[in-house]
Amino acid sequence: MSRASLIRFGAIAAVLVVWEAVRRFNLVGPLLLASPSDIVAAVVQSGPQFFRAFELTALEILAALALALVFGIGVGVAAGVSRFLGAVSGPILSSLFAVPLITWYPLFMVWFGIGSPSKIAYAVVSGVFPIALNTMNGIRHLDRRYLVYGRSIGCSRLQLVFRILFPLALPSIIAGLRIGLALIIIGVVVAEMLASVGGIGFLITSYRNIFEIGHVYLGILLSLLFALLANLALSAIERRFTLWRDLQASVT
Amino acid sequence: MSALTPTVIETRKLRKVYTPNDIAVLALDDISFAAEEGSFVSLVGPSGCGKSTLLQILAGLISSSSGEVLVDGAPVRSPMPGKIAVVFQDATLLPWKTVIENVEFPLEIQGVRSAERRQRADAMLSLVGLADFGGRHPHELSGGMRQRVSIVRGLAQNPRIILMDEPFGALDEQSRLKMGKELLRIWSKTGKTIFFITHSLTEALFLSDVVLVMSQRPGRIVDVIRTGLPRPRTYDMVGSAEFGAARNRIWKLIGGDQTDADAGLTGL
Repeated sequence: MSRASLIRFGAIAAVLVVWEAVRRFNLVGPLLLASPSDIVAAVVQSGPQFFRAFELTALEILAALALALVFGIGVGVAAGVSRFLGAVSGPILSSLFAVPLITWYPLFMVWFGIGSPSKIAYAVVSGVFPIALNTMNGIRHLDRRYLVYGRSIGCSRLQLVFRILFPLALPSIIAGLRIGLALIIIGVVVAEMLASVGGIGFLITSYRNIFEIGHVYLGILLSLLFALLANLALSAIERRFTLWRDLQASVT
Repeated sequence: MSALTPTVIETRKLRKVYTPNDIAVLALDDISFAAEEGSFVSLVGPSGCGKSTLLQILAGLISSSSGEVLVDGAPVRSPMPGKIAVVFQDATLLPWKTVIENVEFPLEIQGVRSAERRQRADAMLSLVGLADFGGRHPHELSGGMRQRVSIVRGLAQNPRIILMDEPFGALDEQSRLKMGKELLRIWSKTGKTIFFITHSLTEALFLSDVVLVMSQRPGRIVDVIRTGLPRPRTYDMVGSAEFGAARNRIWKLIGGDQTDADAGLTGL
């Protein structure tokens, strides 16, 4: 093990020890803070339940992500390519982006029920705007000379969109995806916390109501895991698809 | 060139009117010329005279207001990638593709099978000494190398004609002449017809069989100069008396000396 990773593990171990000690010596009350051992106890006691909830939340996030990508990129490409659609939808997209969508959640419950569909619908609406906006801006600001080149080699309209326009706009689309995916994860978990019958957010709220603080902390840790996994996936995607832009920028 | 050499590209009374803000601007007027198969033709003229507009009309990228462009006797109304390749001033290599993928891309659009594509692209890259750079990305190359790839990419289309819009405009004078020699070497090996836009009179005379001289807007062709210099061209030709005389003649025509040029144009 290298020196740096030794120090890193040491630091984590020290934090855990101090954290545990704070609870053992009762420096902070049991309702405010769960110790690492409380969280381990929660895993032992309710592991399978949390696993199923994690699965459900993950599926809701993935479903919302897929829909937000389809709608976001679709609207973004249309608004980016067509000057008219852009002029109409640009201001609408930008202003809707800033609306506190959570106030609409009760409506989503009425429309889609208490199960997964209302969570997915709410998360799609949360995440779709940054994806659409970034796609639109990416396409509007790309270098037109590439399109002239594309026409000169006989690209059809579809080929221009998919072979030239889309790859050029991909770095912006991925930047939008970064914001959109964060909002989708927040959207799903928050919606589950407000009113639902399953998922990590539901477990957090349920165990808070019966003062099982170890379980609440386990739920929080698992929702952090979503953010962590999303970040890993996005970094891999960025390495694969947007590296050329960063390298190009560093040269010119 | 003998009189029997077939004409590969011909324009008849091309005229282009732009109407930005409903005010008609005459950009090109009465452009008629013919280029022989396998010849190297340059177009020079003051900046803003419509050189690039003319090139885009020849490429089928924009339409003319009247008149026509014929390639092999057939009118050009849209891009014809199998007959005409365009090399732009900025190399416009697709930045997310490697060098060889860039060379293959037009072939892919033409529907050439992948094995043949790779083979043709490899052969073309070897021709310009870039075979070892196929796996690199454009940002890893120098400006001159990028432009060489861009020429190769055009050649790989296997067109009859290559239209070049100030391809070496971003390079310094020395690299520019070097790239010019390189281009002549490639041209002599492939036998394509090249239509070359530049604002460098030296470059135009050094490279070409024929130099078309364009006037200030509205762009008209005011002179056609057959350089008559022997090939292969060498750098010391640039210093010869003939070369200097031809250069001065064009310089006056395009308004290097404003009063002379004005007088020349009213006389036309």
